[in-house]
Amino acid sequence: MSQDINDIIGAIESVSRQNTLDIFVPTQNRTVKFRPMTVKHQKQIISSALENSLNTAHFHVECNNIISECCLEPDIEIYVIDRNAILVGLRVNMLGSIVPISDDKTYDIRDFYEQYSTLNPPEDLLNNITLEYNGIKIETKPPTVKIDGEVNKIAKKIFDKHLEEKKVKETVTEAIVFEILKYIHKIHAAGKTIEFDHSNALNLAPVVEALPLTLSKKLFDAIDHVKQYENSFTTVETDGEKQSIIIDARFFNGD
Amino acid sequence: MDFTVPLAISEKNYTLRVSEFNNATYRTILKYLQNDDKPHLTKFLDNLVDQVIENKNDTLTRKDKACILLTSRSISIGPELELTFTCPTTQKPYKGTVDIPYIVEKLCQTHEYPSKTVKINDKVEVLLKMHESLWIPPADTLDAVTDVVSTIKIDNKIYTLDKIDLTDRRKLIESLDGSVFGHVSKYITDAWQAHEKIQIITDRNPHDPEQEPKEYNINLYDNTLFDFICLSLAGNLRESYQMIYTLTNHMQFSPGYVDNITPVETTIYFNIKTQEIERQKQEQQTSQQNNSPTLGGLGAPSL
Repeated sequence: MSQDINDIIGAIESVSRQNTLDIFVPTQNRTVKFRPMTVKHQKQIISSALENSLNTAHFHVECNNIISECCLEPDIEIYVIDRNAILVGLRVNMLGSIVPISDDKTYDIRDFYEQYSTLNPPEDLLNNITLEYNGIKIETKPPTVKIDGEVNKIAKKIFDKHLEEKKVKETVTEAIVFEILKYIHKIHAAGKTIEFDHSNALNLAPVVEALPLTLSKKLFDAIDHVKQYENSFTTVETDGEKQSIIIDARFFNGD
Repeated sequence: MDFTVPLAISEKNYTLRVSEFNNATYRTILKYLQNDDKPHLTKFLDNLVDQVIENKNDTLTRKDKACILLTSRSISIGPELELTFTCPTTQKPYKGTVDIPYIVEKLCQTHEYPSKTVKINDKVEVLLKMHESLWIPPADTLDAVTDVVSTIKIDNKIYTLDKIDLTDRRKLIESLDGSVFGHVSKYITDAWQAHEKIQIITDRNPHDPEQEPKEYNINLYDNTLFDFICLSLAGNLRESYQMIYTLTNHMQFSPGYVDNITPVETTIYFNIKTQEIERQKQEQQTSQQNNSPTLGGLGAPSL
């Protein structure tokens, strides 16, 4: 690369450093400084969103990477619960607040976005919760974007292979297993403790699949509790009906 | 000195002189077409554009390049493109002809979508203008964004990107604030939608009067223009080698000379040779008839 190009990129980055954005991060319950997304981020996010509607793992990996790269406070822990709120924040600050909510309808999310700080998280949201059945104990906690990224990278490879072989049912089943896996930190059973190292998700999947149905049900309920809060940042009321804002390629295209 | 013809670059108000391309160049084009190697064919055609024009003094857009290539094609291969269609009902073939100079004229008369300045923030703005690349890989449609950003203004300093190669240029555009992405994709979509389609041929099937005439169009803002250029350059590589063989072995032209003449000149020589062989065949047949034995030893009656 020629020196000229480095000079231009240097000039762009210097301007970009001065234009920081204040984005509300729910688990911090405050705004955090972010730098704007770049065209490269836009391209990554759009191309991963367009990849395959059944395999969203890559899209989430890209979203997590972009959040980590743009966050100017690297020491804070960002959770998956924060992801929607941060992505909406970046979208509103960079591309405007009119977002698509269906094929032919848009919605101005600005007023709703400005109320984000009032959407208080449930008190026990980030605490370890222990679920128990028949002597088996599971310690659960909402995953950080780091854990989510580790699991999704592994899941993506498996889903890609299944989809190549047109195994749609297997993809859906394993998507559920990998999603549950992110929320588990420890399992205690028969006097033994399995500490979940999520970078080893492939070997942990059979453990999750072997859990008793009653315990899985309890786990689903706990995850649902977290998901409800996560989705509250993308659920708006329009014409008296609740509508979800879909974070996809169109959302980041800036239409 | 090469033979050249004038070509008016309507958008920029000046006239270029376009020259022919030779057999060696055409064979390379046919090889890329045969291999369906569009990335390398694009590079080759980009270089060819520079070779066939005199005094290049400005950045050429996709439209300019297309007009130059089609003009050079007209004088090197011929002004007409003959297409063969097949009737879906009767399976009978029929022909249609595209007048390439007429398509060039239509392209020249078509105005490019106006350039647009996008302000990203107080210090950075970019100028968007017509694509320069002849072809954008379908898998890299997002790279179309890179191609339309023409200049970047940072703190009142203007950086022109046309001399920067595509890889560096991509890296540069990717470092810009993402808000520019929506503007660029809207610019490309608006240009594509607003742009008048250029009709190249109407397919009227003579074997089936029931069949509605079908129009084939090209658009400056998608790959249909490149596809048309490829179609206009398509040919039979084997036939091309056969002609060279005939010219060098039966007509005693040197291989260097044959490589340096145009495909249309090759066809002319080849046709002369074919006609000569035909004439010789006919003469031989006539002389055989004249010398054939006659009934009762009598000669042929004198006329």
